[in-house]
Amino acid sequence: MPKESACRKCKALTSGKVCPICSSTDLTSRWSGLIIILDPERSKVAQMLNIKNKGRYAIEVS
Amino acid sequence: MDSQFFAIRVTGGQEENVANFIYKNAILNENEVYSLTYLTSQKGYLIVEAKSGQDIREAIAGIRHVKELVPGLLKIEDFDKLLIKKPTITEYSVGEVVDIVMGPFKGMKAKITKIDLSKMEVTVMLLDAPYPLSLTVDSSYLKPPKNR
Ligand SMILES: [Zn+2]
Repeated sequence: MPKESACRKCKALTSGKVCPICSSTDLTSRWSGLIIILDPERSKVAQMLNIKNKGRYAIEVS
Repeated sequence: MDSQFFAIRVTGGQEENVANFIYKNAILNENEVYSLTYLTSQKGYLIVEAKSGQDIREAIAGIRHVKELVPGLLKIEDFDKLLIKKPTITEYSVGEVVDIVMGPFKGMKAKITKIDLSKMEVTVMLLDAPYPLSLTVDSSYLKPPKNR
């Protein structure tokens, strides 16, 4: 599987050319760390990071 | 009911793969797993947020490279600072004055003269030095000015 890209705006990961969360096209292959949110309403991690959507996110993006 | 944080020990290098498998399993089994976190500074571990240890045990069952559910609970305060994004190299610009926060020049102010994205390095000119001194550092050595 080719390495995914991370959105520079919201850090969501995608294998496409457009961010599935915020529709930005400002993507980068330079990212590290991983957060997967399964339940944004119950997850304290999601609340702390203000993540409102389920999905996979990078922690650091450059 | 509050969520709880657990650590699971996994094979080093397989953290992201394992996280993706747990993600799929938890959805398939309808386990109450709320989030999965892999911090690159904690190699060989994943942090799992769930309703209970039982939900995690079910979600990790049968997944390769999972070594164990570490006994005991974590607190979000144990790792929350590692989740907050550090300023990244692309947030800097040439000409900007920054603080040096690590290394022998810690505490000095410096002006950015060059940014090398391919090497993730920043070249700065020290402002507090008695003579012009240029050095090239990793962006983690720098902190953006507060008033930005
Ligand atoms: Zn995005």
